[in-house]
Amino acid sequence: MAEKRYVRAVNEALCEEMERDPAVCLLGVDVGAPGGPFGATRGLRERFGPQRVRDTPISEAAVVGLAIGAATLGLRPVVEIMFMDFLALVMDQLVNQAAKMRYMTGGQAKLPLVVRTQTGYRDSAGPQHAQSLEAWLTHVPGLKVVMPSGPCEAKGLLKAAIRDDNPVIVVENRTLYALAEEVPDGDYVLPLERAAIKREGRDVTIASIGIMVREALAAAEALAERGISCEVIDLRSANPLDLQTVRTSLEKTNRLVIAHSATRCGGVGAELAAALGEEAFYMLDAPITRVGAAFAPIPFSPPLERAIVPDRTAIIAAVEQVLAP
Amino acid sequence: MTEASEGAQSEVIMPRLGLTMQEGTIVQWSKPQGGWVNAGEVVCTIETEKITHEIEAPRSGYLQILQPEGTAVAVGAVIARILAQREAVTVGAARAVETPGPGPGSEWGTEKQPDRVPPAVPRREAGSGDGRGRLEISPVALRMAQDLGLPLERIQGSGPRGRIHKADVLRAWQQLREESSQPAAVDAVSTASPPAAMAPVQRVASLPAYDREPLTPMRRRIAEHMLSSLQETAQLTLMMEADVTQTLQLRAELQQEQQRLGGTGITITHLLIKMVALALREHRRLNAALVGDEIRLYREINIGVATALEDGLLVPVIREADRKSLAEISAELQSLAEQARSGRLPPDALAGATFTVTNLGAQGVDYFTPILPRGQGAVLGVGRVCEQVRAGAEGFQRYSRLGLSLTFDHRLVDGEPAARFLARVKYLLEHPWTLLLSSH
Repeated sequence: MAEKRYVRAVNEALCEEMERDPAVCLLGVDVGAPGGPFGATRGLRERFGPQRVRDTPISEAAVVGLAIGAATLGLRPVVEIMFMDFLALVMDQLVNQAAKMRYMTGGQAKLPLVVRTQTGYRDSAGPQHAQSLEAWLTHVPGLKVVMPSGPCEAKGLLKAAIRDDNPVIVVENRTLYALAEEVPDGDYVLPLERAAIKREGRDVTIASIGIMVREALAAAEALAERGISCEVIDLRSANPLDLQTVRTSLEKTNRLVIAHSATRCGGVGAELAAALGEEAFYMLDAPITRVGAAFAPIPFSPPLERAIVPDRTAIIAAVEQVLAP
Repeated sequence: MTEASEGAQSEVIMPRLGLTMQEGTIVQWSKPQGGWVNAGEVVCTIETEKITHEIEAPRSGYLQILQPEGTAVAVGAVIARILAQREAVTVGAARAVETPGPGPGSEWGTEKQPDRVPPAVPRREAGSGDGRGRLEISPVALRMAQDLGLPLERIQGSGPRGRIHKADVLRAWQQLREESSQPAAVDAVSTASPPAAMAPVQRVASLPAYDREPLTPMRRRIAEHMLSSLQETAQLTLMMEADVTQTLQLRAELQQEQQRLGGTGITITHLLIKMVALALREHRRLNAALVGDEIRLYREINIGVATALEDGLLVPVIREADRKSLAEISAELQSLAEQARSGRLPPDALAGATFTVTNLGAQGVDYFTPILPRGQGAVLGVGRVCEQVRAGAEGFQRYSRLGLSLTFDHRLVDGEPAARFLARVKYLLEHPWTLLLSSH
């Protein structure tokens, strides 16, 4: 096991899966010769040839449409969409074609398609390059959505996504690309539908996803110094949601904070809170509290951006609120 | 398929597992409320007085639990539904059933009592005189207070606007128990089990400390049977020894023969079942029962064989034992005992005994006073085999002795005929070759 950066773990997962299965191929803007907009596909064109690693025009809908056709006919394409914001251009292909194909053919067509994309903020990327839009996708039956919170998840979840016979959208985080961590070598695959307990605790459960897992862990560390014990869950998957793991944790803590970087309104946390309100109401000792971005575009201005997006401070405040007095 | 039949198919019903079964207790739900189940998958374990039984889903869907664990439910009642939509589960799911508190070791907020909706609580309205206005209590705290039978007025809330939290309920409960000096007062507070963290029950001055163990349905049924048997019949026990030297010799030879044939082993119990059954043919009064104002002389000779389990006792029945060969009795009993110990005994295998044999020989008991099973007029207790020496005409002689204890209902049989029956069993044990004369 060696220490690897997040982006390197993505590269390793792609490389290993291409080695393992000749049907795996890569498509996207700059994924070929330049090695990917963020370097995730570096060296893969040299290794596997231009036949399997294809640069495409800046035409997201066409690229995903092409990939859907390829997947239906037996390839396992991995498309890179440079920024998650650009998924808006791809929604018809994803929602009306990819998500429905298996259903409408009565299971005759498989759709082993992976769409890699990334989000992130606190780098003044602005209103059109910093959104977390995963909740759009989770509303569509037939699409799986995972959000790797670190290098291990980046490798393990991407490998699982490539092997899945259904369309999976993998939402990476560019502000974590440089983060280095011990990542298992070789065939390391994580299940797509299971959350992980990142830190055990007894007072409050923090269910988090994507980069907010990092913030939740930092918040838990700070709160521990004050004698408050937080259990941090990495949901990993926005759809399907692993309610069971959160429920089990709630049995112990009876209190829940949900944290994601997307807008609070209509976010994945809203679904989680509602589902637990239905299924685990009598486990609760305090109202469920959500942490997310304000209902506003993400500003360019660094001070304004900081005011809008959530971080560990917001999580600490939410924990204090559910533990009040 | 019509709507009605589809509806019926989606219901999980408390089954009737034997002619006498009135109700069953839900021991465990294998799936959570709202969880997905496949057709044929086990969803629930139930327990009757006689057996535990697993219930399978009639079709695939989302499980809506209507009766929580620990509830006794009448035969034929709907205990769960299998729904096509998960959203439908919450409509009418496990509501307001009067249930005992959680069992020992269970914790509030565990899956064991999924989302049980507590009965409505009268709210304290503003101006009701306590100055606290509307009562606020968290869902888990409300459920705990109700499970413990703790009056909400006794709980001081520590949350915002005096909201009662889980910790407040635990504190109030502990306080109340410490205040109580009389066990009666303790019981008045709560008949429910304490939270796991507080078990065992605290010591009350001058009374010995104890741990609570709820009665399993099997234990409850044994207790009822034994007590009513002693209260309703006139039992007495005759004891007699038998020389089983010859029977043991015969058994050893039969055993060899069975081994050669690849059959099941022959024990002295199997020989006894056969001999008792043959003796009962000649002594019908011992294969009978006094019911109401009549004596029922049974036409069949069905021998119940008491079999110890880890937590109780089951009595599988060898039907028409007088007509079966030793090999058949041996094979049947072995299969019944295995099924009994694994809890898979079909209910009918436990019904219909007309006479019972119970053996405590393995534990070193010589004689005892077995209690009559309900609906039977006699039971034979079998003791241990031990080597003895007796003074005979030709000097001292070694022999193998077996202790027999016959309990019978004196309302039905007098001492002399009962003794003759016992002497007949003794005769057969001492002259086992007479078995050859029987039809099998």
